Amino acid sequence: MPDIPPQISRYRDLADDWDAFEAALRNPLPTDIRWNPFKVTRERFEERLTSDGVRWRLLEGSPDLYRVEGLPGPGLTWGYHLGWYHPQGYTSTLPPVILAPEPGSDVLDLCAAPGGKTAQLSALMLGHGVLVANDINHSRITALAANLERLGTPNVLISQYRGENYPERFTFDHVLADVPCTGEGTFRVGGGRYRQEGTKHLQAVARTQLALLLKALKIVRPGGTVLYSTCTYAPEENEAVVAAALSKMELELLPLPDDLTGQPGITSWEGMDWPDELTRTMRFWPHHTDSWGFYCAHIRKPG
Amino acid sequence: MLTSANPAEKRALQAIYEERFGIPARAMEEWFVYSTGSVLWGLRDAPHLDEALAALRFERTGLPLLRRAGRFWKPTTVALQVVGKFVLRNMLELSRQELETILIEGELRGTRADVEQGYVALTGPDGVVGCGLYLDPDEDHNEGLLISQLSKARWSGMISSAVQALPGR
Repeated sequence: MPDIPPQISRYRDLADDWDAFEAALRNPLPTDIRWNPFKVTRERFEERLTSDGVRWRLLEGSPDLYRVEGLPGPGLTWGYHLGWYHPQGYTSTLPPVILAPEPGSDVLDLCAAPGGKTAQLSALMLGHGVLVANDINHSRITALAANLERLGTPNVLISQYRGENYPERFTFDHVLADVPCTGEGTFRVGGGRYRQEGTKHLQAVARTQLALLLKALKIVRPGGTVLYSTCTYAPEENEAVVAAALSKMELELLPLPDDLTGQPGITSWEGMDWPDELTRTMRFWPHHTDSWGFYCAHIRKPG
Repeated sequence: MLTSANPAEKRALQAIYEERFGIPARAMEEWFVYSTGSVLWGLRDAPHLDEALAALRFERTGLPLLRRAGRFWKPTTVALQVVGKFVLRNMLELSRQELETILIEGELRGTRADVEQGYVALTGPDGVVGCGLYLDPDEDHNEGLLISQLSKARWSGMISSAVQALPGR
């Protein structure tokens, strides 16, 4: 089909149902919003959605996420400005849910802006513990701070280091490495978010991703966990990066929760072969979730 | 490294949140309060907070609790929303329409309220919305005047939404 870019057509053999995948890319993205416990009780939030005529349902695997219909622009409501919710696609809520930081733990969100996942981590920690949100870009930090203030997250410190060079003077129990990527998973026909780039860009992005993942693994404490995630289908940015990290240090890939609907990570692609344990990572496709394409690997550093 | 707020700054925090708004001291005790001169920030204390603050450089931390306005401190909308359920005094309840008016026009004339002149917690049907400044009637304005302290930039989505909903649009 001419309106599916070639970068995405090359995954014809990866998706379990290409026709369903293509059909999903032609549908507009549904609206998902994450309830924010720092500002309103769940009961009051649900009551308010219902009384405003918004149809909603909870999505499996992400307990605070609501798929809504009839909300007049998620960023244009009183609820948004009061911080009752944050617009966040279903699959983008999965990395914090899988990382599951305990209250009181020390957590780093290495590439944090614009802050939806940071605020979600804070909620999962019940606002207790050191939560550092890092981003290299100053203007993105401004947006990050605005979101965190609107959402009332009480335990977030914002740092501005280049992720690959993050200082190693303080270590963390958990690190979220939701790395910059080519963003192929955000593509929808007629949507404006995804920008097509060339092969050189892909290679450069993959190098940065590996450097970020290795840094995350260095600053996580022994016994701690790292969640590596992207919003792309490209194996070069997903399994290849995780496999490269596995080849450099002793690591354990953890299985992902059973209630998530995705495909296991792959072990070969265009002449490259990776260890079988890569099947413990997971690819999330739009035709399974009606959300963005995503990839997650949950990694434990031996204690 | 960030430093804890000094006694005068802590006193200002107490004067506004405890004395003016009636918020119990225990509601503010969980905050580690520090100053950057023009802003007092609050961060929830954590077991390894001191080590993190000593080891890393931070651009911003926590939530703004008070901002300096000339010689005085003023409460922030962010903090009033967070501790809103504890506010007992100097709370001014507005209708949805009045809230939209003050957002669009920046002020509300003809307000008569049983509150002390100064900063008030603006509340609406969904609880505390943020900070306003209430002025009693005087020779310049013979009606009470309520001036919005809500950031137009932060509330721009709501303002454009309210403007679109105005009759005749």
